[in-house]
Amino acid sequence: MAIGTTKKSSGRRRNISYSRYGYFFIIPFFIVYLIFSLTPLFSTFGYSTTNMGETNSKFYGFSDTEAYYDQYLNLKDLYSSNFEGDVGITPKEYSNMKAYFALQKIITNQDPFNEEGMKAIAGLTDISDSAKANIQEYLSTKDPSVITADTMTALKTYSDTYKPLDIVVTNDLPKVISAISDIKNSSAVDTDAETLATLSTTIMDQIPALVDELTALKTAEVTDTNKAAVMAVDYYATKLNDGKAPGNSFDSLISFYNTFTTDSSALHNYSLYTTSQGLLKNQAITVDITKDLATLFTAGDWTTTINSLSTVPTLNKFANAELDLHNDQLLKDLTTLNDAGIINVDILVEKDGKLVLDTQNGLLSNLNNLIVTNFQPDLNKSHATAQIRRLSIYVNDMTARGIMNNLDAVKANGGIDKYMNFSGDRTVNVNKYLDYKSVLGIADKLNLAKYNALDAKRRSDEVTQAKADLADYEKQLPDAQAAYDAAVATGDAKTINTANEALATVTVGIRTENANIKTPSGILQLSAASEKYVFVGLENYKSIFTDTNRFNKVFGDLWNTVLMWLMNYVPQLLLALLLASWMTDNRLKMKGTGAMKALIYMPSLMTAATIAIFFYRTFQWSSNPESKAMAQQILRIFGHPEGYNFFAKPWAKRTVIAFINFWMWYGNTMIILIAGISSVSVSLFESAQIDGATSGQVFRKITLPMIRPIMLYTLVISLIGGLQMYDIPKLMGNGEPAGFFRGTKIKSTETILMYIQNQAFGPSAVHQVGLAAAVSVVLFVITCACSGVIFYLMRDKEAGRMKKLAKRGGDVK
Amino acid sequence: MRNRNEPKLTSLSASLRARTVMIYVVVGLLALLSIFPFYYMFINSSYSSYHILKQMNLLPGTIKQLVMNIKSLSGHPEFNFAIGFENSLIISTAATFLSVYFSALTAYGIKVYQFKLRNAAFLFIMVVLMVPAQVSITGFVTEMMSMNLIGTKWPLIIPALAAPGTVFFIKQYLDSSLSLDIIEASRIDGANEFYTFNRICLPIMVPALATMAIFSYVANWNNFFTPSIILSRLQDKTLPLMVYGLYSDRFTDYGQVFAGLSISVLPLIVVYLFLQRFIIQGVSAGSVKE
Repeated sequence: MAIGTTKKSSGRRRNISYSRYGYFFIIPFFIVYLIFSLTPLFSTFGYSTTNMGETNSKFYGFSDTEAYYDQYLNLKDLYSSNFEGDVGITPKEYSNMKAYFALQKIITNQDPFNEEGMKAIAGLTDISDSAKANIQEYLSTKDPSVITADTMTALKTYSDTYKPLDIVVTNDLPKVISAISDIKNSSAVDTDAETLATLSTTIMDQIPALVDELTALKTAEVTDTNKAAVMAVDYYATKLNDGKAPGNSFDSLISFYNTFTTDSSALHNYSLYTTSQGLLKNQAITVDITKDLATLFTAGDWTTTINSLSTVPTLNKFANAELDLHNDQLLKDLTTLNDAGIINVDILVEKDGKLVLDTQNGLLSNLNNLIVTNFQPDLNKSHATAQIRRLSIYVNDMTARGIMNNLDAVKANGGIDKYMNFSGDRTVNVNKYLDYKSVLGIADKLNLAKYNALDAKRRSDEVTQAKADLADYEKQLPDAQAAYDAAVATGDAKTINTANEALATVTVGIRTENANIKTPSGILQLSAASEKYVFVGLENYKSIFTDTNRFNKVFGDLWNTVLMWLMNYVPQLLLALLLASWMTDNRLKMKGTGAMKALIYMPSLMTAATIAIFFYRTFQWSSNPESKAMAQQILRIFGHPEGYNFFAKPWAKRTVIAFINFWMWYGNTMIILIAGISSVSVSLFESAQIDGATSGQVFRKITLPMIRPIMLYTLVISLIGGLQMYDIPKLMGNGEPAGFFRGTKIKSTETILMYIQNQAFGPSAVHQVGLAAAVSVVLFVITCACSGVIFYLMRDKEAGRMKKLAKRGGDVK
Repeated sequence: MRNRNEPKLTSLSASLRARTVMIYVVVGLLALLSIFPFYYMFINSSYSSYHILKQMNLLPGTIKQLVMNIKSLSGHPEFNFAIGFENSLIISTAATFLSVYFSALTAYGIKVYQFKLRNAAFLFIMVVLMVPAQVSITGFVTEMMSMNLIGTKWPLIIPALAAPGTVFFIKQYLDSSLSLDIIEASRIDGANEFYTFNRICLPIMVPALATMAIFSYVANWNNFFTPSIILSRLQDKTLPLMVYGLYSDRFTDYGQVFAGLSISVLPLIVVYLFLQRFIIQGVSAGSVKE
């Protein structure tokens, strides 16, 4: 950088000549901030006007609509009768296209030619030399076409013969993974509370019919046709009875089912699901409540169970033979998944006229045997076998490749491989895709205009249907209303409840159909995309402020956050000020302040997880008088032998959380204040001392006014940090206990960021990213407003006056 | 720790001495309270999960259990200390350096130069200071995906360069401690602007920089939220992510977890003990003596 011209003239002229350097100093900050913070922030603003997981004709978030439709829409479902006439493309061409995407998906998930796997195959000792040489050739050339059909046959034969227990287990795991990811990705489930309530009612209403079937089976004569059913009843009744045979299996099962007819919250019972599933499978019953239960569970219970497991994130590694299968945790988790009905791996066999669990086959039995027999796996063999499986899938899909490559146009352009990418960027490249489509000659047949026409037609059909349904519902409304009013008049709670539910079905129906008429979903509803962004304008914001329930939840959480922040910040600042003034007090001349500062700051070094565990143990309450928790011991010393349950009362829990935050951050605040006090000129303190000022006077008249900018800094930083409070309340019982805000039940220590996190990435099946982003924007606005007020109240009045003077023309130094 | 050569103007009266003793007791108690959780964490590394959950342990457990916990930790597929340490070290050091140096640069630029957009730039920094970082995480992740940076260290390092909070702190510090006369003097001596900044003004900012460096280092070392979204492969993970891999809502081995937590916090304590000396020295190094 050139040396600035050093003029020894007036300060004013120097300022002008140097001022441009300011830009050089600040430009890196602004560039990085623009790229890494501002752009994401604005895209978040964009997300706040969208909804994810709902379908609508207008959607947002995909760069290319056409590629999206091609990839996710199965037109064959839409036009099964006259496909070619309606779509303008032969079914075969369409199949080719779908095959291309299927192949791309396999490649996206697992690279069929990944080098480590291929090396594992090359490292096998018991495959033929020619196959080995062939794989070596691939490894040196990296050209998939050198792999011959003979090699593939040899490899497949090898992997078929090499099937030790670990391979059997490994081969079963992809099913588990797909079952889990289905539940995780399920966006089809409507988590609307009213819909779920309706669903619960439907399930409860079906149970009497189910019980009737069981009663009929109980009295029926045992024949060859119903033998399996009776055995199934025995098996499941025993299973429900902790493995002991109950006196009468039928009565035991019937009474089990009868407990579910009244209380909808009891339905969240995995045994109910697995038992019904088993009975259904063995034709003991025909009433199927499992599908509705599955929907109910997918919306909550199952996701919670899956999230609570410890090996789920590593399942892929187990399936790819990257991790040792001798893992009790894996067995436990798979058992849990099986018990919850998420996967179904139990195999039942008949033995001595009874159904028993097959201990020789099935995933769990195999895994158990593997662990018990302490089977030593050959990791290279396992890895190679898994790789052969991948390779085989790829080769099977070569059929699709073959069709593609036979098309003259594609061939002339270098074959389908030109459009594929095995490593590096694995997402669908839209331009590449469109290029491919135009080469195939289907781009002008299957284009966006075509899709839009389809969409328009489908939407108009939907509107017609919705209008008819709406008319139907509206017809029912007066009757339902009258029935409800009559029920209220009788005063019987059960009647009112039934009538209310009937009325709710009608009103929900009217609302749904009205929404369908307003925004029909069109063909997007048929797509299988796992996530969709739908433009909804300001709906999210509107719902925050007009939906009383949502308003109370959002602002109740905000209220919790502000309360807990205030409860920690005020004492924190006071203590930090006190400590800072002590440690910098000339007259006290404290020794060892360095060590003390270092120690007091230590809590900030700890991760929130450790702190949460520590304080949880410190305050934990137990009815057992021997409870070792420190806080309870102290209470006992002071004459409260029962102790006090800090986690059960909203205010006590809030105080505990505020205390933890106070404890974590007062050292931090103190250090900042000390840095501020240290920057105040020493001579100021000295002259004050000479003038005989006391410590208190020095503190009030000199220290406090001089460190006002730094205090403002701690206040603003703490406010921003406080409004974003997340980890401690999250780790200390996830927002419990329940409390009330304006009559709505909320979690009394749930913070606003926990709410955002729950909506966007929480355990619910539908992730409301749009709503979460909208709440974030509201939070942002509130934070800005609060900080603005603080700045205004604490503004430097002196500086402001000087600035005004300067503007008037005076050159103030 | 400030000027130690000042004349003794007052003799220590009895009341002052009593006050001093009281202050020592209070500060000592607070210091004890501050390190107690560390003690708790370290001694719990020598207990089995069962004993950790059953009671509040206040005395060290057995060496045998400690060895067992460390053994089970090193055998855990989600935990590799060497890799985690290397990743955490690279990310925290690079991010801290960028954050502190460029924040000083920015704050200095705004404080010293009277350029046209100066007030607008400062106002902008003040406003973005209030943007909660977690708010824009969805947008951030999407952008990192499109830039193909997922799974690399860059999304955790580069954004640290633009730290509005640090800029604000250093600017506040400069307001009360940097005299523009020094810069004038430097210019008269013919120094270029960046030389003035690096060699003359940066040393003056040391107390503020050391304070911010500690905050930034700790925050980056313990950061969990962003790395958990950006990094997924074991060889990329930072220590907190690896420790989190030991948790499970149902069958967590707390002995193992405490051993992992202790190991992962040790490097931070070392860095901290090293940097905190800087603060104390830096504060007494002071700035312009009038």
